Amino acid sequence: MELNDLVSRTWEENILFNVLLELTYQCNLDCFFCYNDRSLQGKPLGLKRYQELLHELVGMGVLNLILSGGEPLAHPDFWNIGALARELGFVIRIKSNGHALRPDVARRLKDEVAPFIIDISLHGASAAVHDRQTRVPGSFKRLMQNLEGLREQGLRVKLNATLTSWNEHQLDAMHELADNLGLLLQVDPQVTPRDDGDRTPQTIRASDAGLQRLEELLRKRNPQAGPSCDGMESSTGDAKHCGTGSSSLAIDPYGNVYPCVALRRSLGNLHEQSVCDIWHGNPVLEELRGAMREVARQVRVLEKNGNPVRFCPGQAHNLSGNPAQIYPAATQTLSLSIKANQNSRHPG
Amino acid sequence: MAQSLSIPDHIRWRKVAGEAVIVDQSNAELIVLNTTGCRVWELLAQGLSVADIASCLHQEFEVEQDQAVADVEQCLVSLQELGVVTITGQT
Repeated sequence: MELNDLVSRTWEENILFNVLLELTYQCNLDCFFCYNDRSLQGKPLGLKRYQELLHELVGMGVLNLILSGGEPLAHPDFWNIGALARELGFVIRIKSNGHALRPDVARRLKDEVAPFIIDISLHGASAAVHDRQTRVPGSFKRLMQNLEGLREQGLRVKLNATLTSWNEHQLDAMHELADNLGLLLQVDPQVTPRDDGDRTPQTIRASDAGLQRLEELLRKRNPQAGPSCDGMESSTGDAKHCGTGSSSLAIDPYGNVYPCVALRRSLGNLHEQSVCDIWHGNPVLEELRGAMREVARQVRVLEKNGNPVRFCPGQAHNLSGNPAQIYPAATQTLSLSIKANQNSRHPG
Repeated sequence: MAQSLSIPDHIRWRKVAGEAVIVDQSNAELIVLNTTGCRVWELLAQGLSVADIASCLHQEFEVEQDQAVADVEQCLVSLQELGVVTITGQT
């Protein structure tokens, strides 16, 4: 069975398979466009509750566990949580900015957590651009050093970048940098609003030219490239657009449970309910499963000439309150995509 | 000397909808075992011997004991070739 077949099955049969834990919103960088709502109040989940949660997730058959933040390593119990996750047999993905991953930390990560992969944020191909976005001088230089240390430890690393008006002129250079490091780079074309609805981050969203350049570059580097949400979206079937509400959950530092990290519609709170109780028979999830089928139908209509639509139900929900509502940026990407396709057929 | 079966540390797995979903973290390979293979996998993950696994299959799937032993051994050879099971010792 291929991965796509497995993913499709989890979507169709509503099998919880991926859980993302936002362990903390604390961070050692200060990225201008960070989507976290740092003003969110609540009682943080304690270590004991995380331990219970991980055991519950094993019982529910969850295989993929994503440790995110903020910066997940900033959580005081990160090592205990990571080690238990390893012991319980999760495939662990860590989303980090890489700033704390000094060689000794990288070694400890390999020994104690043994993640399958570490996703690390890259904001530019030079210190001037990267540090402008992170607002921490020296962060680019330190990241380059830390990436070398991670490689020496044999840890699998992928770079993630968000395309912005501040770094779009370095798109080629960022790919070249990733190539030189022997790492895969995934570029997200959309800057999302903050989770509290603040649209300040979008003041640095990429220009039309930047988006078009990204499309052209993706087609040049991978002619089969399609939309991607950590490789878990759209191309794996036509019944549902993605696994939101069907195979994934996200949990914030205060125990609020959401269908997806991008779709901040609370399903319940772990201080009051078990994750199993929240997952089974939840009317919001039932509603979303229907919505994901509707989204798939709409996207199929929009996908003319084989050009993919980069539609995120979470972003749609944040913008309009309706996860199935096509929003301007998705169709803008479609139009740019068609243009890029034409350019690739008729260079010059 | 009895065979000793073990699952290496870089192997992660879950039972999903009656099938065993196995991830080899060393090479990012995904392996899915059907119902019978999944049962063999579950039992070896519990630390059972080849003979004990075969006995379980004999009872649960109504196959002859000799056939169950042969099936389990064949399954284990395949899993060993895939690098998801370590077999030490001899039967």
